[in-house]
Amino acid sequence: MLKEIINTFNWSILWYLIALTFGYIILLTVSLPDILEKFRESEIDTISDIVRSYALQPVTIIIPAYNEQENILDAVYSAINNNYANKHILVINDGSTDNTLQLLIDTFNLQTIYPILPKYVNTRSDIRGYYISKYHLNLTVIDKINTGKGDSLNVGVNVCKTPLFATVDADTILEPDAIGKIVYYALSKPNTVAAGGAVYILNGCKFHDGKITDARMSLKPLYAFQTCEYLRSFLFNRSGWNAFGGALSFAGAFTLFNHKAVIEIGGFDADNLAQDFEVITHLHEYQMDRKRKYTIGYTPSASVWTDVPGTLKSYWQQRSNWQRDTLRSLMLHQNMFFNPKYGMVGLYNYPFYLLGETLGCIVEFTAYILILFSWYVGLLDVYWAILFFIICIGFVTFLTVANAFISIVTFNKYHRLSDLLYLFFISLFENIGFRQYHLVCRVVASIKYFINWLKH
Amino acid sequence: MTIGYHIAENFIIFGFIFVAVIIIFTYLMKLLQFFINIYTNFVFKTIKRRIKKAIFLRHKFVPKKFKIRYRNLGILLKILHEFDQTVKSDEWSEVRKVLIRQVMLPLARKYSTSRKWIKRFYAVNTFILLSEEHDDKYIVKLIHDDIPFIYLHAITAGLMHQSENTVNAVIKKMSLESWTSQSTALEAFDNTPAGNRQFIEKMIHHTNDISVKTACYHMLTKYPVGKHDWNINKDLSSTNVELRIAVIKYAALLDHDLSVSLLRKALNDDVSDVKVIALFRLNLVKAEEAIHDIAKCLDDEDMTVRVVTAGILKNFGEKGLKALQSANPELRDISYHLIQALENK
Repeated sequence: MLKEIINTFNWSILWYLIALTFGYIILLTVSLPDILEKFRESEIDTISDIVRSYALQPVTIIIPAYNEQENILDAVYSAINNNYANKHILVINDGSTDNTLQLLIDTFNLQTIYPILPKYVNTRSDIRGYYISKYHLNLTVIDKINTGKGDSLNVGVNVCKTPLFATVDADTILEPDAIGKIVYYALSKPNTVAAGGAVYILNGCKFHDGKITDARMSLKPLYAFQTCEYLRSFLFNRSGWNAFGGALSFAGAFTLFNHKAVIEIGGFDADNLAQDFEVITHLHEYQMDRKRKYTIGYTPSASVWTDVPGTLKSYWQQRSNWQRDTLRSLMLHQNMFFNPKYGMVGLYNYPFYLLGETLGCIVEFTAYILILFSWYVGLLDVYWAILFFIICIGFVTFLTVANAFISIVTFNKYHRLSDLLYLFFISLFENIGFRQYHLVCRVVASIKYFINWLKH
Repeated sequence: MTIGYHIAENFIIFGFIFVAVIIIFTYLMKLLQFFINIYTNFVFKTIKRRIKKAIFLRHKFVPKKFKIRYRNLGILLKILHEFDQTVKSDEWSEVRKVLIRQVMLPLARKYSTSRKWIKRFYAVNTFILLSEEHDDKYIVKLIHDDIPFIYLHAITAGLMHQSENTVNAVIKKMSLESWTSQSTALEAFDNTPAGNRQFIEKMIHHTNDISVKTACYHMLTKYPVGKHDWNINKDLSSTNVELRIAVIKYAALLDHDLSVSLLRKALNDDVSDVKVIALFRLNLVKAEEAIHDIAKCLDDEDMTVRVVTAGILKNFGEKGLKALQSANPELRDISYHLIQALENK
């Protein structure tokens, strides 16, 4: 009897993993033409000429910052030195307790002004100070009390006067052509409401005054593992979703939005730490409910470099928050689940995100527990276990290696042979130990979320 | 269970092989792209050489002998741009005309209906350089395109073409895409023929569509002011706020007396945005005779209006400051503090 139960679980998990892997293969396949086309486009000189034109839509670069005195100047300089002609930079100091604001005031010679601001979306915080720079007339800094990133972004939405705005994290450095390329992507599609860009790991790189001087992989394993993860995510995963109507999330570190579209949905969710996920999903739902033709897409050619957690504890905290708030966002929009009204987004994207990307950790964790339990009671199907490890770990490793190979001939940021060899090496070991740590973190966060959900 | 194992094994083998094929395919595509780039560079250099021969050696430039493989609009536009920047001679002007008329325009007409957006983009850039009388149907189609890059450039092409059809299409598009009436987008009107004004005025006469009228007024701000023979007061009294704002922006360009009278009228508007824009325009036209009306706005219930009024009165020098100083501090909270700050400057 016990053997039957274990076998049933075993095969359910295996079929689940086969279906999930098949989904990833589909994403990789459909992402390829997109990646190759974007790479070919990114080499056309015309793009550089186009995006330097002042006739293009102006963009506000919104940088929310909380206790970022180490990184804020580089982020702001990278925005100022960006080669997109028609831009404004808006830094929102979210009640920092360190020297973030003073550093900005001193460096950019900020002067206080007293504008009257509209209220397009609700915000929780009053503005304490509004500054413009005497050195850079397109730089504005807002000081407010600490209410979180989501609310800070909503303040930015209210202050923004341009039809497009880009959210950039304060520990992120923009590449000089990042804004130009993402705007180029947005304007080459009809009615773009959001566009995501690629994110690479800043840790290990050399940079000065907001410019990357030497792009390098960090030798520290935690950073290197995250490099593999980001490469997998931002090279093929998000590109693949373009073919299915657009991903349900982009990196909060760098996303371009249509100002009017964000105002229509009421802005960002101030209670959600995964606002990037929530806002994109909400935009999909809102546009589909009104039967509008829209584009939410991703371009790997527009890229930024961001800081990632450097300790296991901070990594755990970050991923727990993401897991919990992603689940929260998915539950908020559960009416999209297998709903044909939402097209491919409802029929494929949402179910894949929920059952595959978000809850897949629980299935995999169950498999590990099952293997241990089966071995303990002497009912372990060794052949099944081998198949499980090949599909679950072996295949993901192979996908990471494949991404590394593809990145060499497309958007390769690491030009040193040593970095490439290290990338290949680390991708072989990413799924032994680190993957399991990540898994436990997400499972614990999911369990906490569901317990909380049941209580309420 | 055995079947299950077989399926799983086959899937694993299939999966690994498939991903390996994708990697190989990527490298093959990269190799193909490498050869395409070599060929494109060769075509680029060959065309440049032929044009240089025509300019500097005065060889006759015969479009019929321009081989089909050289008829690549993207490359031709790039070469044209390069020669425009580096060569200033009559020979180049002649060759340029022939090249555009006999090679590029036929390609542009063909590309204007292409499914690939980049080809339509090349087409619209060609029509910006030059278009012929019968090209308006292609330009109109491109103005109605969904892709912002294309219709933004097509607006310029439509204005350069200077025909009623294309200008009307531009007006229609701008009425649908309100952001195209923002100041940066209106740069598309720079260096376009002033003759377009007649079509815009004709549209204002004949249309009752509010958004079309609004777009027309925004467009008129980019042309030299002529006589206007329609009832602008009627539009200034419209129930639509966007139209009233557009009228005010246009009114500021008219004859001084007429402009001031219209802007003074706008100071009595119910909507504070309209009042603020009217105030800024009165400042622009230096309407000292309207100081008294402007000062009344210090009593406005909207703080924005009061703050803007105070700042503008200061710009009018002594007369303006006198009006400010007569302000009642109890009623004009922030305006009063601003007065103090301005006086202390």
